[in-house]
Amino acid sequence: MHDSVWIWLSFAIMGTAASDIWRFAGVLLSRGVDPESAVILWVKDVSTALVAALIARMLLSPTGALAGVGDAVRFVAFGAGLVAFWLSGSRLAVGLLAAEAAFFAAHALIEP
Amino acid sequence: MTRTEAGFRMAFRDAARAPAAVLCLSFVGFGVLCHGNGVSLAFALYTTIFMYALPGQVTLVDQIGRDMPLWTAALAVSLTGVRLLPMTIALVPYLRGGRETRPVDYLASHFVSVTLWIESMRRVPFLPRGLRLPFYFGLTAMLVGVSTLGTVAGYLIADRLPPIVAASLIFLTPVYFFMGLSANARAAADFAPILIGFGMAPFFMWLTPSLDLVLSGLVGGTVSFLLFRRKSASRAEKA
Repeated sequence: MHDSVWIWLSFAIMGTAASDIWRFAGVLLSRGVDPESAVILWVKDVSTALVAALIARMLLSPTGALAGVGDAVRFVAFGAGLVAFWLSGSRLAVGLLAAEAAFFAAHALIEP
Repeated sequence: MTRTEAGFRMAFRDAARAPAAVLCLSFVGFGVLCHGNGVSLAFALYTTIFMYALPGQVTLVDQIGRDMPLWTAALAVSLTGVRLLPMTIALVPYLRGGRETRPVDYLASHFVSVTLWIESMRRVPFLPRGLRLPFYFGLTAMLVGVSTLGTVAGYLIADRLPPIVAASLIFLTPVYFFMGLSANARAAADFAPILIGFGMAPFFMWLTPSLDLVLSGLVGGTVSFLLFRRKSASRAEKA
């Protein structure tokens, strides 16, 4: 494990720089742009697709404690959450509770 | 009541309690991860406030836990952060007061992250100009606040939390992200980038694991734009 204060400091500065560089570049590049223009619509679609891909990655190759849970549990719970979300007329709380309930149920049934 | 007060009130009143709760629980998962990877609470809190991008924070702490060198971690975090560029370009024009860029725009951009982006994009464009920035910062204050609380709580209860419960907290994030994205969608053109990006991700994860997000976003977003938006956009320009 890393020990010296300097190493932690460099990881801290790097973490902020590696995130904010994209945000600041975004502010610079968006100068004088009309939010309803075709370019921005395209950028919006790219952002949306990127976030959707991030979701897929979180589900397919999870990190931390979630990595210890089987694929089937994650997929079943994700699907159950979405179905509940749509059936309830896009109510977040309903979808999230259903996903969590399905997560524990699937874990108990599939991975006893 | 000043505009700032009105914006903050609006953000705290009708903004998204469910997203705030999910975010808090996701950061509980992050606190647990930090504790397990030998990261100090101070460092964990630093990343929550000064990175404020959960996927980047998870990547960083994961790299530290695997004893990776600084430059490898920097590359991994930067690649995870590329998504923030198009997200910022799409959001900031709505927040901007006039044509020039003000220092406050940079401050606002520091908090661009998936939850804040989803919740802002569905409200900010429909607010009067003067209320947009106050509302955005009200939302920021609330979301960064619950994220900080979650980080501390997760770190402190890490030892007592059963792994399956920690896993269920981390699982909430992708579920909420998907619902948050599709809650904004009305037309086929809105659903297309979600489904195409989601569907392309496994292919690009297999093809180029480090560039998977960037490629899925660029290819998926462009395909979706060409199929569903180009016609209506060019028609609008002619009219």
